[in-house]
Amino acid sequence: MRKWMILLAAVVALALPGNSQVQNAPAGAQPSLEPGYYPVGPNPGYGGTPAVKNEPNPVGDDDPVALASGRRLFVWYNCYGCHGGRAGGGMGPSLRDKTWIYGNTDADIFNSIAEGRGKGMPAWGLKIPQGQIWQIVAYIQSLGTPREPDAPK
Amino acid sequence: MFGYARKFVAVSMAAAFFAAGAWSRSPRAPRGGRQAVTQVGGAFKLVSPVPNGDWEEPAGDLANTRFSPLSQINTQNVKNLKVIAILSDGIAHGHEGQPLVVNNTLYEVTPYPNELIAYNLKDLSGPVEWIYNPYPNPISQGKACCDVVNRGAAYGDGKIVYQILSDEVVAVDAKTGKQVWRTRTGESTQGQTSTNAPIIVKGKVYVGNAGGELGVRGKLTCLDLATGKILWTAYSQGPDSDVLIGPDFHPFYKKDQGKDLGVSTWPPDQWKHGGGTIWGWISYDPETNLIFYGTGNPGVWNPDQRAGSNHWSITIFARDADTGQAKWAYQVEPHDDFDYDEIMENIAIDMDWHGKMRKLLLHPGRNGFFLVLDRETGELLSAEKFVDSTNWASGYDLKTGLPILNPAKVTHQGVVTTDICPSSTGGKEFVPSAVSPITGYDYIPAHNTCMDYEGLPANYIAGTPYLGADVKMYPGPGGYQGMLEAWDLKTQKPVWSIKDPLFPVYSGVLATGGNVVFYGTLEGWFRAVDARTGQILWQFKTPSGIIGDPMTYIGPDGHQYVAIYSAIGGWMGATAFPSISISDPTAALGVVGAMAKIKQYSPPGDNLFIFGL
Amino acid sequence: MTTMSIAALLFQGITRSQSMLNPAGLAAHRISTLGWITYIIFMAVAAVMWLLVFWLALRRRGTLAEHDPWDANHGGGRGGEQWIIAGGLLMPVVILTTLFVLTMDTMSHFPIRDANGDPPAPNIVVDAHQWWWEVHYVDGPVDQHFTTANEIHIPVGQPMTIELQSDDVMHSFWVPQLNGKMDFIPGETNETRIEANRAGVFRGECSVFCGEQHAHMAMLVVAQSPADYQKWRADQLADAAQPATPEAQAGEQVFLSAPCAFCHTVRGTAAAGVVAPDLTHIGSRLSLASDTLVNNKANLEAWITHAQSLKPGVEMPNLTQFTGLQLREMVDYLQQLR
Repeated sequence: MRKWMILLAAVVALALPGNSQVQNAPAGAQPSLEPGYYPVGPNPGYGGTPAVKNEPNPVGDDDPVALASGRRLFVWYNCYGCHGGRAGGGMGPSLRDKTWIYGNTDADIFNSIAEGRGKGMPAWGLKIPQGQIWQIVAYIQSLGTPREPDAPK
Repeated sequence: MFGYARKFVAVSMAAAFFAAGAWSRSPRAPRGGRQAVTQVGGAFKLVSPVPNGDWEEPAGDLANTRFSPLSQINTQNVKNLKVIAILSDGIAHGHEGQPLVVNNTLYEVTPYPNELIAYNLKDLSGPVEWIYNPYPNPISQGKACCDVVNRGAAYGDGKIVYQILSDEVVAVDAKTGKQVWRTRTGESTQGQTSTNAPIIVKGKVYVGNAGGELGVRGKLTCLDLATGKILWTAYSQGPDSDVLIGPDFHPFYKKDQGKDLGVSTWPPDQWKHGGGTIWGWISYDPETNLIFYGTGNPGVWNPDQRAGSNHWSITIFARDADTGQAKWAYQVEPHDDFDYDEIMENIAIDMDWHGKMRKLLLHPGRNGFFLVLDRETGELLSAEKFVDSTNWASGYDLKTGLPILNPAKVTHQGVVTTDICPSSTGGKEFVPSAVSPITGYDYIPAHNTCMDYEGLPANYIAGTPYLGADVKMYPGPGGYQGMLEAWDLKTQKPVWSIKDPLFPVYSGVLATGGNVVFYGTLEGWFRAVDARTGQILWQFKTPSGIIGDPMTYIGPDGHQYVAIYSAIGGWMGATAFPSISISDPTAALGVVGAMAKIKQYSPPGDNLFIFGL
Repeated sequence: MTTMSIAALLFQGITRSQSMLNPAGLAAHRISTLGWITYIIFMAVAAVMWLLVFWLALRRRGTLAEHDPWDANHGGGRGGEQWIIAGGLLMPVVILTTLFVLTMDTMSHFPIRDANGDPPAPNIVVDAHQWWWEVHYVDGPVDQHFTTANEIHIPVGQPMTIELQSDDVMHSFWVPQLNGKMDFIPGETNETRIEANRAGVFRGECSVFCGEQHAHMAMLVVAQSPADYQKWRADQLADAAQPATPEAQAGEQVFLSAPCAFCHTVRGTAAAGVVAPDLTHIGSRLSLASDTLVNNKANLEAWITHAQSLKPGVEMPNLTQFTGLQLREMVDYLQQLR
């Protein structure tokens, strides 16, 4: 009897979703249905309040998979085109220095990415999953530290 | 009695002659922008009149010679040049381009937010006449690849016309500062910005657009000067109907002949993000009634995503000024591997070329080669290296018009190609050279910068950069990174050069009838140089690096003045801003690697300097 | 969901015989022939050896006293020396030399170089990624090039040269019914050539361990008559089909306003991402996720919302932001992209 219960429990556990680092979009946030257009600035879908408050990064700041994914997404989503090949700046400000216009906690950086900002930073939170944004936050927090993947040479 | 009369007549006639002579040589010579001087010197023939007191077009004249016949300031007295006024606009971003002077008023277009400021030259210490603020869309600041610059305005029919960063052309009444019309040419959300200076010809305004780093399709728009209505648009790729290629089109070289090359030389649909933006200078030849301009890079920097020759990027076009129909086109570099935009000035002169008088077009190219073309047919007559370190090609085959590529420098996705010279910023950037019909030289503000380049896969996301390249730049060999080079147009060889060990020369050049050549450095030095020998006759250290273009005019008092912006920024100068970290040499599209020291030499600034004797 | 896909896979495994012993092309025939010859020779040798062993074991050996002690001068027993020379030297030399010659002859029939000794111009360039195949058709002028993923179509009877590149780790291209293995080595370019002599669907797999999902990195090679192949080419070259039904039209809007367009391309729309499989004609493909799932609506919905459960570690994220209706409309749209 016990063997069958263990087996049943194992099957149930296996059937659960495997990826724990992705959460659903926050309640009330609807994906924008305007194709190809980027609203910027605090995202109305988030009700004018910041997307997250004071949360530390749920994927952790030194998970190597998150850092590698964050670096990959930094390139794939063209962040490097505005913020520089290794985030040293360009059209947009450097993310490697100590000046943070909108704050440098995990939550602040998440909000800047998710909500967009008024001088041309797109509102990525309307499109990409939150888990991916957290991975990018982890990469940004690693800049200039020994954990930075693909550091400048 | 006759004796007295004769003496009287003689004296009065002498007096009259004196007065006439004095009057004609007097500094109070009559002004008048275009109708002024049609020939100066003998080295070549000017094609359009050069300004003789005002400065109404961005390049002074329509042929883009950037030559002024004014000679009050000359090689003897330029050492006495001093600061007459410093005008600040409070916007500490790159000031490219040049102010205009019309009817004793100086007009400045600032970087974003693109204010138009009218200064009363009669009283520079007093309040400005007026300021016109067009309130561009703020998100355009995040779409400008290379600082929120503006390359200037043009004057026509009582209006000052210029572009604002968020893709509108505005016309402002030159006396009152009130907007006359405003026309939209694109959308910031799609990544387009508008930075180049218009030219005005026969009641029409010609403007280009920018955004080749964001996958924007380049286009030349022609508007009616009176109403601002768009008359026609010529794209830089797509079917022939988009590019305004019709039965009048006769490209000289076989490689540029064929139907719908703007589609067939790209993988399917890739031309829709094909770049070819027109963000540099536009020139005009009254003799042939043709507009000349060059197009920029073919969109994505990763060459493997766009197999094919990518027409009509990196192409010099000649179009009928009235209809916009292309007369000829010459693609300077097929299938660009390096971001060698060829939007540089195309200077129209008539010169004796190997024994025959020909209508020429001079184009010191971003790719390090000085191109001379026949502006009637588009034939390439000469392509010599004006920067020694150029190694992406060994030369040009004049029969086919193709560059002779160096296979070791070709770039690819996933491969780091090193030591490519020149770098993406080129042997010369958009900053315009000047020619002098007295010396027969072209004064080129040149760079000696090299780079490593790796292609990356790039996803097109509207409004974000569409790049696909990891670039790192550094100074080239030879111990200098910039120079002002005098290029002899007859022999197509350099005559002299003033080398700058630290930084590229990123300012425009002005050549004058007094045989003085003016230019500025990124450290902030504004220099007056002997046009014949290259000797530095005078220099002044302005507080910020110079990326603008010097111009000269006659003030209300009849004296000659020279004006130049001292306000670093732009692409090469981006490293000077505090928001850029020098710990990342690949930042700012790679220039940080070459410009890391600039922070010690030049802070950002916002000044317009006026110098006089 | 998982059991359904396993069942589908098993079903596929039974109907598509991915075996080098079931060759469908000239190259595979030669390899298969060599394989059989080698097998038969070795089995024969093995049979002989087993017979000898059994004979040795079963024959009457006699007592120690009945045999002379082994004499170094005579080599002991009847013809022991001959056994050693014949069986230990001559036979192996003959057999192995024969096999060597046969192998060399087989390999000589794999011309990757053309008559001048140059690598032939490729018809197809395959870029291997973790864990999918990016397939570029590069025949002819550049505006006739197109990109697809995970499924390669070839005309029957015509050899297709494939250039193999990888930007991340080593992979290997092996369609057992058509060719031998050829590796993808990052930083290098390899070529292989495949040719089918009958129409059919032939499954291949990545044959060098390349990471977590190496086992789910299969590809399908579809051999068609030349006329069908040209039709397929023309269809693939065309831009994406315009959605005809209201559901598909709504689905197109959902697709374009979601992050799909950042990584995927649907030519003819604003979606122009290149780091993920090209979806311009996804409706016409036989499978999803490199032949991990059968291509149908249910699996596509599952893939979009829970790719990480189906193929953990892939770069496709779980996209859970859609309502049920939006998801269904988007899948409607994608399935009509034939």
